[in-house]
Amino acid sequence: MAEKVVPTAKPVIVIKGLTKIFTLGKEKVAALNGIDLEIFPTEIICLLGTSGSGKSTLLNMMAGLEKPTKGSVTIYGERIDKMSERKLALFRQKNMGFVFQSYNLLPNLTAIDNVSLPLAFAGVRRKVRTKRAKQMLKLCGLGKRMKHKPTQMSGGQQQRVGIARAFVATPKIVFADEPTGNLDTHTTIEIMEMMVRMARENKQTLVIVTHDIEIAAYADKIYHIIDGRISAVEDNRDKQIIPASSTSAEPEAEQQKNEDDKPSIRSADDEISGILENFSIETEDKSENNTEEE
Amino acid sequence: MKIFDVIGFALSNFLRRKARSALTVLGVIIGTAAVVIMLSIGIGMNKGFEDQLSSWGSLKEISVSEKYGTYNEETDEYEENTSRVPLDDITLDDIKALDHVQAVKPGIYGYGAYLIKDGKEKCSQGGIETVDAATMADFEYEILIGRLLNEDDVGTTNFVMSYNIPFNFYNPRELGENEWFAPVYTGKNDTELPFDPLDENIKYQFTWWYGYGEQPMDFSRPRIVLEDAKCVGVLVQDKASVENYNQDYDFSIYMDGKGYRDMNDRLQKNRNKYYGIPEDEASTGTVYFVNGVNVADNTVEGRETVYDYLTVLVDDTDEVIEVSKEIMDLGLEASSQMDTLEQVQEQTKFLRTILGAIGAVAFFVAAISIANTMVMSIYERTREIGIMKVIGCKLGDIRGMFLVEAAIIGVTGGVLGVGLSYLMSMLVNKLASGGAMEMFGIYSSESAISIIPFWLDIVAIILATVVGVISGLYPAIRATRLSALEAIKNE
Repeated sequence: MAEKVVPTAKPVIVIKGLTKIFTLGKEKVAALNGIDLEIFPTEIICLLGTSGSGKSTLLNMMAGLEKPTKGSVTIYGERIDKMSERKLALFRQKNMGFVFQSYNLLPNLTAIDNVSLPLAFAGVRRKVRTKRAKQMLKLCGLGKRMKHKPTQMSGGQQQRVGIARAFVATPKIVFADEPTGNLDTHTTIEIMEMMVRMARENKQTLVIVTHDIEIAAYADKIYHIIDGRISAVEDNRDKQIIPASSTSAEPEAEQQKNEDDKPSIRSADDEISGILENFSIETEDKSENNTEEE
Repeated sequence: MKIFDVIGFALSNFLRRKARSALTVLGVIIGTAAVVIMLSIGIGMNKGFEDQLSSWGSLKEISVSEKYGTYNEETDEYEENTSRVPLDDITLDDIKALDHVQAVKPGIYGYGAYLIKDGKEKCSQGGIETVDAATMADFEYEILIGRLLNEDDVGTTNFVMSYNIPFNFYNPRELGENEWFAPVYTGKNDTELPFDPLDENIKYQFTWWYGYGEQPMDFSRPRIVLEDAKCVGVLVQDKASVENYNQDYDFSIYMDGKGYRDMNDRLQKNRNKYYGIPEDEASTGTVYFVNGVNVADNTVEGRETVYDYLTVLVDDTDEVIEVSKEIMDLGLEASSQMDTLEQVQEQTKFLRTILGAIGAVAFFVAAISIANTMVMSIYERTREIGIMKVIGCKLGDIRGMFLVEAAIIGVTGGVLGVGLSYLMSMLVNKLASGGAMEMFGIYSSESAISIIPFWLDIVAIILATVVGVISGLYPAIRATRLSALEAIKNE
């Protein structure tokens, strides 16, 4: 069973009066118009809206990729909107994972190297991170495609690599921007179930942006966004789709999992989880030293 | 990110676009090779001059002579120096007291003393050249057998022969009617000496009488005294002294200055006695006429000239010019090979600057090419850079990747460029062997036109790397400034 969201817990992401105005020629267009939002730990939420509703802009601002015109984004007590590029890079490294619509894998890297990228950025040794990446790929059902490059894989397979990459460093928050936008229905279900299952198992907060009501059905809470405003908040817990806890997309992965006595991501590599949990912006150097320990 | 990972990323990017990387590296190769070759020709020229000059004598030596007068350009007349500083022991001590002076050789041209071997063979060719026995080893004398003069020989008539002397002994009584001299041998080191000059059983003597053994003795006059002497060593061939540079071969007999002067006094007295010249009329000591002027005249404080010249050995080539000036300030004439070298270097400076500038232009073009490649590479990888930024790659690491890639281009180009320059240097030297150096007025046959010293290799490689990094600086900073969002949107 999915865990119950505890409303009294301290929110992870706090958004207050968030406004974004784009200037197009002489015209000013408000993409976001005073959004207030609180996201709690382990919540799976969905920002649902049509194209141009401002949902992607909202996500970008949560990730610190865009600066708001007005308002604030606070994650774990840190003002994302006021952070320097340098600090943001570190903050994302430590706290955030991303799944993109167009997968955004590095074309010249193999699946393993793509997945281990966030660990490489965090200064994890090659041996350790490769081992970890392999485990992740197996969990995502890509045990036989580890040495493939993105161009040698189907869209679904690429997105599995993308998910493995987003979750490999066990970030506290994972953002997914139209994660299934380029995939067929069958693959969409596989991908969504995998993502939600991983987030649940790791007690992570998952923010999904989509225009597809089918996908929104996986969320605990659905925010309907229209014209830069939250038009409705829907508690979806009663009717949400709950993936089976150990469903696997590929038989080979299932087999693998059984052999491994059903490893969860959390227990897959405690070494790295420990490293990344200790990792913080203020003690950057210290954390890097930790990772260098043999 | 670990530094190895940064380098790994840079390397894989460098290898990803092989053709473009190769072309950029080629630019650096050509630039580096151009700089190295141009500088090596400049160095080769300098080395050529130095070789040529040092073949005339050591670059550390200064020849000192008296200042007899100066040529006045305005009046077009020669003005005699009436208070000339003579080369005597006072002057010798003054010069020895100067900084950087390692040793001073007091030179006397001891012509008029003839060496006789075993009372019957004579050498008319060799003149005595004086040295300071204690410091002979400091000068560029190279011993073949025996030893150089040393402290123990001060004040004695012990001598060292140049290589040619043993070949020049002849027995005047065995000559034919029209033969005044025996054939002159100009020995080579590989020629065996006709006898062992250091043999204890050989008796060497000096005489003042040039006709000794050749003309009948006048037994009515007092006996001609022969001065006993001992040979302690033989020099290698062709080590001509500074004073002998116009000669092909050295024909000197080297003796301690004090020892020679004492011997010469005795020989002079014997001569006066032989010719019946009274003591008070005869001049004792060494008296020379130089340019027809009696050197005893016109000297400061009535001091007497003792030495014909002094050779000053300076401990450092760089100080030669300075010491020369100080010696001239003492009122003497001083000249050294360094004067000439400096003049020549001054003259060729322009040529060398032009050569260097050509190399620098090539290098500059290479730098632009690196920068261009890196900027292009950023355009191509905009999306990747964006993805890396979103995933949490630190700005410093992104900058590092590009700088390292630029440095890799620089290092590779630098190393290969140095390799190429060796090849070109060999080619230039081969093509230009003989002939070409004369273009610059260098006639030293051994000198190569292009010389690449080891430090130049190192400097060139470091320079190429630094140029690579500097050229990569702008693109690298540009990469970090890319908006992650824009980069991701870029399809």
